[in-house]
Amino acid sequence: MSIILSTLIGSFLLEGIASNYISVGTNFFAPLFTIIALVIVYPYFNNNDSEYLVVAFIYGLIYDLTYTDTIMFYAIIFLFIAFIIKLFNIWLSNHIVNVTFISLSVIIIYRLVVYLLLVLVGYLNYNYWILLKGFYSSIILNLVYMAIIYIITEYFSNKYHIRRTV
Amino acid sequence: MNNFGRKRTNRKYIILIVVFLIVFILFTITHIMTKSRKLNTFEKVIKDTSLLVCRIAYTPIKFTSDKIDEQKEKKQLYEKYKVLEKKIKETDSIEAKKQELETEVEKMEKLLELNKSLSNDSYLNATVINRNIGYWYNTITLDKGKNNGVKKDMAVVVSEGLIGKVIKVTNFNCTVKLLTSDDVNNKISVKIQTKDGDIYGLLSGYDRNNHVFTVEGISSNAEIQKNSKVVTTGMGDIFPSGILVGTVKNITTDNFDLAKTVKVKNSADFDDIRYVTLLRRNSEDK
Repeated sequence: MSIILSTLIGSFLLEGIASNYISVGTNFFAPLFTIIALVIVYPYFNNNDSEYLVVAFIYGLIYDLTYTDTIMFYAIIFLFIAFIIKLFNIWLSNHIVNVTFISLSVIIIYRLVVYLLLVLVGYLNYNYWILLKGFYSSIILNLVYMAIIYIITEYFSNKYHIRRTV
Repeated sequence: MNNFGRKRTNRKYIILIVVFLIVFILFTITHIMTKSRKLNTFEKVIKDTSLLVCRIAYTPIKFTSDKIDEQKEKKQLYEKYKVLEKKIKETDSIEAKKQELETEVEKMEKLLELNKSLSNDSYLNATVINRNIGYWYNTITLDKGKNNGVKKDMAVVVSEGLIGKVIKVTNFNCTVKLLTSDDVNNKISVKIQTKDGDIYGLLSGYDRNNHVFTVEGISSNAEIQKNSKVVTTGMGDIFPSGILVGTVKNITTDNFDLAKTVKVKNSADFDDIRYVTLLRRNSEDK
């Protein structure tokens, strides 16, 4: 549980801090650490999917209130993303190559869902290039973050013999 | 046959429920995103608490980055000193001119019996806690809230010019919508200061690829020079007048030759916003 909590809280705070140093225009470093944290912590729930989904929902709700002033928007999206992560983990094992693939897919799905929802409700105008930029701007930094967090969590779970789905 | 029929009916129900759920979620999101919703007590408490934790975590990093900036500034100190020395010499003449203008404005106000001037405002400094990544970086959160006198719709500026307005306020924090927002409702009345006088238009969007604002609603007869300053008009009771938005970069005419569209290069650097100033019109207090 300590690994889950520290990964989720640490990523949540880091995303806020990193956002202060990210430029609005062209950049390749848009942080989505909270989404990466959801990918990393899944094996530590040891197939307790309902608990994982509830945690993702609450995590999204706090994200909503802290960073966006909305309620339920990111809660629903995080729940959906958690469901996708759960599906991926049924087919793939917890190996760094697989986790990289899951992270990459989840980042693209997350960006696509958020953008399409904002366009559907009339908040944004549809622009193919902005959507495309949303994809490529999120990949590099988040995959590096994923690799670091994966190595750290693996190290601690091996050291303290923390059980997880492999 | 009966089993087959029952399965089909069940599937119909499932599809109906899924469609209903999607419609319900979309309706809820539309309501949340587009309506000017006030935060309730629960939301305010959660937001203030989590932002306090964010602020504590951000403090050592901010301290370090500020120190690095300070060191960089120190290196450029001598060059800056020379520039300032030159400016000080010009200050006296500017001061005299300002005094004269102030007296003139005072006289005119009395003459017109105005009880408020659009550019009359007071200041409140604030620090950026985070840039809200949720909506494509459209908003930032500041460390000042209702307890510090922040109100909804207050204009937010940096030393280079206007950056946005306050949209949500909690007791200790507030959220600012940036001018670069993709929000389709984000329109501001501006005037372009040309040699022949002011030309009024509507700041209607931000082009992320070229890093310019678009000003629309300008007559095709208007003569606009490049590098003319674009400032707020003070109309609409949100932004005080005369706040710099940017300078004219490019002027185009529409296909029917009826109106001009002006591309404006922003004066403020939206990539690096750490400290801001909130403007409050004194007329709001009256």
